[in-house]
Amino acid sequence: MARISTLINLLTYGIALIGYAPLAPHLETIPRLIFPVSLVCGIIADRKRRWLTGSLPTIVSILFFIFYSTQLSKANLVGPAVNLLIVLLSIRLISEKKVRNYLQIFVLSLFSLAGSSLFSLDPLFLAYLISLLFLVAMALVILTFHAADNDLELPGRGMKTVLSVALIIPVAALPLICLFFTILPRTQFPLWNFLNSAGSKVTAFSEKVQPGSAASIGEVKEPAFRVECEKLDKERLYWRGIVLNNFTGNAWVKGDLPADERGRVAKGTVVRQTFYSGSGTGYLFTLNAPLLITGVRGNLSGDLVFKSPPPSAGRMKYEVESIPGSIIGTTRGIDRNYYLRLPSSLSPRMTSVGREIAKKGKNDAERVDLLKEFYLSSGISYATRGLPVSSEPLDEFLFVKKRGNCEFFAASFAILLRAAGVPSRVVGGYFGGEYNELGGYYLVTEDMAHAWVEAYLSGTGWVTIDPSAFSADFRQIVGNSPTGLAYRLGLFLDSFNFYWDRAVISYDLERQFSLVNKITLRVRQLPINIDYKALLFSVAVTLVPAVLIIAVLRLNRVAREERILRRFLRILKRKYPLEIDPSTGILELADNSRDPVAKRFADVYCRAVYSDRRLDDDEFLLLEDLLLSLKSSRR
Amino acid sequence: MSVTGIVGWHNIRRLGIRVELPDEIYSGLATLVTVRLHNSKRLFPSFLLRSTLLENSVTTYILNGEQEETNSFVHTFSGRGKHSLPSAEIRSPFPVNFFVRRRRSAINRDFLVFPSPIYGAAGINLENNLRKGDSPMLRKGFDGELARIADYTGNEPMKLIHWRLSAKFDELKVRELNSSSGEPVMIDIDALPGRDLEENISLACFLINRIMGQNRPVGLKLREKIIRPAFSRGHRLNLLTELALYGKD
Repeated sequence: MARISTLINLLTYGIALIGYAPLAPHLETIPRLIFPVSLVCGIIADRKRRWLTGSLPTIVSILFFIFYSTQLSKANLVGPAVNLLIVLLSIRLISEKKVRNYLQIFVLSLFSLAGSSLFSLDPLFLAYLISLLFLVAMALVILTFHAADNDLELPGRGMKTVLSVALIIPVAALPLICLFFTILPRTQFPLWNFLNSAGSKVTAFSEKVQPGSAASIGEVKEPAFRVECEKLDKERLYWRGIVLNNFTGNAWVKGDLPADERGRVAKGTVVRQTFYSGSGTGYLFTLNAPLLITGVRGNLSGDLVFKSPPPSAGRMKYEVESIPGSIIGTTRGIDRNYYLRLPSSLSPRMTSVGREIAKKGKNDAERVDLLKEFYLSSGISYATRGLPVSSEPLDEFLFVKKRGNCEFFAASFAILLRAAGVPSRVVGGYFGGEYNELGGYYLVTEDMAHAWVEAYLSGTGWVTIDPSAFSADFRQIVGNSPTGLAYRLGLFLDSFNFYWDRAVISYDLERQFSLVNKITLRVRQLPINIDYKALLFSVAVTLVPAVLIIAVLRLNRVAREERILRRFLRILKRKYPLEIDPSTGILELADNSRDPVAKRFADVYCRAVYSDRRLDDDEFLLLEDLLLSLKSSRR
Repeated sequence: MSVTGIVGWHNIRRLGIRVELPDEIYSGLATLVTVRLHNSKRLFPSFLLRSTLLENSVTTYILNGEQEETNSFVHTFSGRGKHSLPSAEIRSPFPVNFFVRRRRSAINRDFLVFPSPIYGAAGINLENNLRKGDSPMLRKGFDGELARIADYTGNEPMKLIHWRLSAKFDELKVRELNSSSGEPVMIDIDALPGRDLEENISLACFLINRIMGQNRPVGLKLREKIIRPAFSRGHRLNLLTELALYGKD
């Protein structure tokens, strides 16, 4: 014999654990410790049937509620809420468990799991969600038995039957869930997004390049985006994000683009890419230089930067066509003065380097080459630590410390170009990417955030120059991909994330529409040269036999009254040596058999059928029941 | 939700209730009612069924396909005459306790409730004339059980002479037998001392059972209708049926 209460308790522990586990890394110390302790105490309490009773649990809950309410703010909404959820869940575990308390535990666990999705939405969440779904569905069924009788014990076989039926419910619900996931409309932006305050995700990409603001750059290995495309030469993996065309004295920022500037990508081999990203800034990344962007409402600016209208659009998917490494031409030239503007506070040493190059070089291309030589001969090294921090960080970078990261290289190079009379701008984005052979995509992580320069050469257009490449050791630092088992395993695991992104997160209304459109298009594409005569003929050929078959079937259809009567006669014939004459009435037959059950059957049957009505459901059930007892009773 | 709805609907489908009642049901006397709940579904078991009949409920936790469960309860019917049980209610909260599904299952059982067998109220005490151990109703006869061995008086038929004992005692001994049936009794419903017809009917019911229990044939006079005395179970049930239905048609 197995106790239902033991089973429901076991299921409840499992459900609570699934609610807690994904949240645990994001909890404060107290709730993180309270839960396991409560779970153990709860198990002991359930075994000894001695729980925390009375108003104590309620008072403690209220105190915690007040405590966490005071911590709530617009910027910090999720943290206190999930901590409170876990504390409430812990208190429920050690309190007395009536039916409604079990339901409370299920709901709290579900909310906790939902809360965990605000911290991280990886494929493991799906595993937790499905497990919770199964356990809760089973627990609800078992709880129904528990509600009927607290101390119910079922024999082993009975328990097996109950459990298997409890399991059928979530299994049967799964196809429905998949169906609804596919067809239900959803919002373009995650509903819960407002809970996630800005800055909860670490991005290295920013809307300005301000070298000298920090002595070191943290390297975050968080994925920035994934790009499905063919494998490309590593030198071409410049992911364009933003163009900064205005130097304010200490930072490169995005200024208003001259009104008539229109970028135009030169002809070349087109590379198609599908991006899966969480666009936190609103800027959409593209492989440099982009030609076309589809799948998202993007405003293409003259400097080939795409911005999606509302920032923080959650996870998104879009397609890009690019010509890697292409020069960006302009249809009507550029406003040279705009791209040569510099603040007056530029350091004298930088100004003189610019002037010197301007004097030596005859045209833009020569001046660019001279500047490259200046960088190569200076012996500047690439570094992310020990960066120059002073009032004139770029001056210090070029002439004193001679070490810096891409921001220093790009910012200084663009300024020196302008000082030398070559129009220039800084481009922010990412460089590089780890190609996942399994999924056929590039994984670009935050530590690959990069800045480079575009110089405008008269008669040619904007040419991409990466000044970081002129450092002594840039290629050694950035260019070497790690290898080894752990790295390959990491890539393998990342492909799950990629498919999760592709199949679940980026699945949205647009995709639903595209699915419907595709189907409509396919239907429309069917060759429709309607020959009405042929159509009429084929309809007739299909319909007439169908109608005939249905008519014959209807004629031959055996009513359930007829069916049950046949069964009755069959059983009666087997049981009693009666001469069943077609003319013998059913009442007479039952009388002849002298079987009370047969008589009763005949009575109920005749009462309905002889008053020209069909058997109702109750009568039919009764007759079925009588047949069973007629079959099983002895003569 | 939809899955639980379908499971709940299926759970309560194709369930039948049969009721078994004893042959003799008396008004005002506790009677054992047996309820047989049957699941006609071939494969699917039904769970957590609560069948309610005559304000009594029985719970069945699991009922496998094509199986039957029997439960009994005690019920007191009141009022003589024809009674009927048209249907019973089956309800189940399965699979989740949020909704309770119910359906009525047809029983269509008609049965007869005999009058309440009372005698105290009529002021009759049949026990007065009897002392403990007496069996005054037994008379000498030729077809009953052996009552005693007696001396031959010359009147007894030859077949009653106990030859072996006669040889032993040197005088003839005979077997004295009981009469298997007592003196016939005719009950006139109007001659009974009850306060009204119902009391007389109840009293008659009691007397029929009591007197026939003493192996005496009983007849019944219901105003114009006269039923001759006889002694058999069928006859007794016939008399009780007459009493149950008297004045009800």
